[in-house]
Order: sequence, then structure tokens, then C-alpha cells
Amino acid sequence: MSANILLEVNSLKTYFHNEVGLVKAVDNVSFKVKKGETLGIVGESGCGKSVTSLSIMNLVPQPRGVIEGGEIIYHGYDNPLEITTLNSQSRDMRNIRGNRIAMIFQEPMTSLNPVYTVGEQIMESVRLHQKRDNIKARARAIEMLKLVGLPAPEQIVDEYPHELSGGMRQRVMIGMALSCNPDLLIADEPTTALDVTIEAQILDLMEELQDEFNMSIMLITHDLEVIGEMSERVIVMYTGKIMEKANIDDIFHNSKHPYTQGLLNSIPQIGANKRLIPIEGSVPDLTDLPSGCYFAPRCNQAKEICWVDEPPEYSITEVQKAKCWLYDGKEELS
Amino acid sequence: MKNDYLIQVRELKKYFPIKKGLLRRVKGYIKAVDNISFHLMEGETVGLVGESGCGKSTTGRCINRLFKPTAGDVLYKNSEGEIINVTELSRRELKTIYKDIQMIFQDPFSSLDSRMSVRDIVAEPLKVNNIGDRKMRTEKVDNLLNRVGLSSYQMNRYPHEFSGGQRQRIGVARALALNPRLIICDEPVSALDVSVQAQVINLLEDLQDEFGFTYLFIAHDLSVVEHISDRVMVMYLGKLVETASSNLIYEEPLHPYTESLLGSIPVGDPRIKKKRKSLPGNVPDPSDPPSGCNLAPRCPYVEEKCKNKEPKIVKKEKDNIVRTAACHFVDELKLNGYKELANDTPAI
Repeated sequence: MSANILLEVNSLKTYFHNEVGLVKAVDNVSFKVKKGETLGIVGESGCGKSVTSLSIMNLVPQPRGVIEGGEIIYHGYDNPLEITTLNSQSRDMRNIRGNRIAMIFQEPMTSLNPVYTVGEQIMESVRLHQKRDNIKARARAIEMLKLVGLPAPEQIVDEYPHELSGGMRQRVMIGMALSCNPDLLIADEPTTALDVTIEAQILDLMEELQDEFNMSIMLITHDLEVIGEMSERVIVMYTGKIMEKANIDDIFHNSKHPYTQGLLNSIPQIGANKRLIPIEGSVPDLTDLPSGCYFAPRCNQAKEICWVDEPPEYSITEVQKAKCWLYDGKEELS
Repeated sequence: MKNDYLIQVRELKKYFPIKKGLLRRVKGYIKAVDNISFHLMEGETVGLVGESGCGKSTTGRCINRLFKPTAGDVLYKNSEGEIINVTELSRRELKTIYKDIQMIFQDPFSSLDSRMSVRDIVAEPLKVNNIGDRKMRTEKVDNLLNRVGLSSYQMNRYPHEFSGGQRQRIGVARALALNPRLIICDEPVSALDVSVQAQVINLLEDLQDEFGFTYLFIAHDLSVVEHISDRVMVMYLGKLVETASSNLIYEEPLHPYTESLLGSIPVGDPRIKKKRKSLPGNVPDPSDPPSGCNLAPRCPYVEEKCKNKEPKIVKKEKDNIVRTAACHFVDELKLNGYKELANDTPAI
């Protein structure tokens, strides 16, 4: 394995056994995260992008959620470590979670504990992972609050989450996630709940801190525009499967999969003044998926075979892959 | 578009009291809407944008009297040409206004009663207003559902059986039931997925072409607003800071706040090298707004005057199109439009 890979996900399958049936939330997903890069994962609700990140953190809701197959290999230590074989509560997993791989969530309101001050919440992970005493941990908490650009950190460290605005809470979340110098930051819709001016501030902050800490970011969002601003490579997901993988420039100018093209046509462009071309229909129910390609019922280029057989992943170039029958026999590289 | 006022809002104010202590004494006011004036022409779509808490939803709800304004007038011209002051109507008189002014809400999950079938939800406005008998109402519901892209056989289903986009279509059908003239859309697409969002936007545009509705389109997504609106009004902390036609506001904004909103829009396309320009700080507490211009603490062009004196609304007219901006330095500032910001290659 080349040295610059940080995390490797191979044929990951995370299924949920619900009373309504089997939900294949993540179905045969493979990708790699390189050191220092920002990987974007984009998709609509229910496409499995959040379950992918929960699987990496080994936080899939029990007992309904099960990782049925595949592997998640973390290359941050000297020896590769397989995350799926670890128990969620084991010491090894706890050493990674929050320490080596940290996560920030969409809702800064619900992901902070309302009964502890923000300082106590940051200090908790610092004490656990870095074995620092209270005084040092507190100093670290103030340092982190300062780093994420909060005014008067010595004062904010003793405040409760409800005393802060949404943007400030998201800054606290980022400070908490970065307090142990993680190699990988998983950001699950980090700016969706924020106003556009605050969103710009948070994105700026994430870029700055990435340079400073030299960490990788997995940016998960439904917003292609945010992905485009932040990431170098993009994965497009739909109903638990990867539809297309490409560099950001190819996604916007040379996308191959009809789903990616459909997403781009659905976004209003300022100054374009033309009618939007939506993708018809809606995301199918994961318990009642169509046979063949899951996107076929909404696809404007569907052929007969699309309704019958699931397409394999075709390599358009070395980096760009598309899971679509349109590229059958047109591969440049195998 | 007919050249006629539908709604004229004059010096509208809505203050919410802050009550504290055991006796719930009023300790101050949140000035959610603070002295704003604007108009809506018949058949046009006006976008109302701003950050959360700026008072855009409150403005919408003052127009259809879900809130009673603290002061000011909302003049509505009904289909007979009479001018009615909505703020002064009694409860009984309001019923006639509710027929003409309908609303579509943001959250399609909480704005539909989960215990009512789709037939009952869409027929309710008809029933409340004693229009038609049961059979005729069912027929009308059938037509409405077909019009918004749902099938008649779905009429007996309940809201939980539908996806977010379909629920929003049900909300649209309910708003259409009484043949309204103005529809206030309060963030109608922000809870929807991108691909479905485009479907609902197209539906709203088609319905306007067919029935000639006027829309007040409240949203925070600037690309969506630009796409759908003829005119755009920008709100900040309870005040209108700028109004102009949709093209002008995006091409040559006059107010620094508008410029920074445009600068904050993320642009995905890596070939457009846009410098992200963020506005520092947070929206101030509306119960304790800054003195002088509301934007002064965050404005990149702030000067001494801004901190002391509230700017007047400056009217500018060009080719019979009126635009307004509330800034002391409207004539001095040279602000960048969206295109210029987008081509702003970072200096090396």
C-alpha cells in the first residue's frame, strides 16, 4: 500500500435489520482517503453518506445496524488497523475515535451537551486521550477556542452551549474535534444549519486549520457547491452505492454518470436565467428498491439492460469511475 | 404582468415583548420588523432574503395577519379594486383576506396534519369557507392533486406515506384550493433534496404562468431566489437594506451587506476562481441593536458616521425602475456584483 493513503474502505456493507425489512444503507462501497486531502461525499438524503461515516467511527446504531462485510483499514499507525474487527467499546477503538479520527456533526445545537460548559466538553477528550491533568487540559481548551477564532476564549470556556450562537457552537465543535490533533476529520454536513455568511466563515476556518494540522477531511454534504469549494476529489452516492468518483473539475465539467449530471442541472445558477431541469421522481424507498440499476426509474438515459442488471463500476480514467451501463465497452483503462 | 399594486406595506413594525421575572413584566422588545415599507405588484415574484432572525418570516406573517403588526399599514387591493387595510380588520373580516392570501410553509413534515388524509387536508380550506358540497369538493381536490403532479388514487393516503417533495406538493395544492391571488412562500424548498427542489421550483413557476399569482418568496438560498424572483428585497435585523430588480441586485449591489451576501455564496465550479468573502462576526441581538447603522459593527466600509447616525433609505431611479438602499455611502461606494466577485482571481 502506498504511503500516502490514510484510510481505505473496501466493499463496505452496512445493513440495518428493521421491522420493515432489510435496509442496505451502505452497499459495497470502496474508496480511499489520502493524507492531507479533502474528499467530498455528496448525495441526497438516504444515500448512505452519513452511515458510511458512522461505520468508520464504529458507531453504527446497535443492534439493528450491522457491518455485514468489507473492511475499513486505518493506516495512521505503523501497522494497518482494521476498524471493523474492533469492538465498538474496545480500547483500540476508543484510542482512534476522537483522537485519530474526529467528527463534527450537522446540528451544533444537539451535538453539544447542554448541561456542561463548552470547556468541560473539550477538556474531556483532552484528558482521556492525551492524559493531561485538569489545568493543562483547560489551557488546551482555551487554546483551541482561540484557534477556532472565538472572541474572549477565557470567558467562553466557562459558558454553556445555549449562550452561544449557531456559528459559535459549530466553532466549538471544530475546536473539540481538533483538540487531539486528529489525522482525519469527518465533517457531516458541517454548514447545513448555518446562514450563508456564517457558512463562509466556517469553511474558511476548516481550510485554514487543515493546512495548520495537515489533516485529511472527509466532507459529507448534499450541497455540491460547498463540495466544489473545498474538495479535490468527489464521491457521488445514491441509495447506498457509489455512482461516480472523480476529480472536482471532472464532476463539474465532464461528469459521466446521468445522476451527477442531473444533480448539476437541478442547481440554479446565478445569472443563467434558464429553466431548471430536475431529476424526475424521488429517491426510492430503501426497503423496496428497483431491480437493476437503482437510478434507472429516474434516469433519462436508461436502456433495457439498466432495468435488469446492476451495472459494474467502469473506469473512465484512472481516477474517474462511473457505475453506469453507458460506459460498457468504452473503458480506457481496466 | 399587470401594472398594478397588489400589496402596499407602509412603515410596518412588529415588536415582540420580552417578559421576565415572576410577574412577567415587559423588560424590552425584540424589534423583529422595524419600520419597513415596500409594495408587491400584481403577478410578480418578489424574493425576500436575509439571515435567520432578520425578520423575513415575521414580515410574511404580518401581511396575512397571522401576526398583528405593532404599527403600520398593509394595504391590499382586492379583485374588485377596493383597497383594504389588512391591519385593521376584525376576525370575521379577515376571512375574506385569508381566501386571497395563502401560504406555503417550510417544513412539509410539520405543516400537514398527520391524522388527516390528503383529501381532507386539501379540501379543508373549501370546507371552512362553505364552498361546494362533498362531491364537488372531492372533484376539486382531484383536479388540484393532478395539477401539482400527484395522482387521484393517492387522495386517501396520509402524509407519512409521502416523501418530502410530495408533501410539499400537497401543501401547494392546499394553498391553491381557494384560488388565491397572493401566495406567501416561506422557505418552500429549503427542506428538500436538490433534485426535488428543482421540481417544486418549476411547479411554482408553471402555476404562476397559468394562474397569474403573485409570490412573496422568502428564502435564505440566494441562488434559488435569483432564479425565481423578478425583484429582490434584502433584510438585515428587521430593516430592508436594499431592494432592486433581481438582475441589478446581483450585478451591481448598492449596499455593503448585499455585497457580502453575494460574496458568501459558495461556487462549486473550480474553474471559476472566486474569492470567498466572509462577513466577520454574528448577527447582533435584535433586542439590543447597535446604534447608528445596524450593519456598522460588521461592515468592511464602516466610518465614524455609520456608528452614530442611522442611514436614510436612498431611492434611485434609472429607466423607470426604482431601487432603494439604506446606506450613508450609496454614491461613494463602488461595490462588486456577483460576476465580479466570481472572477476575482486572488492576488499573488
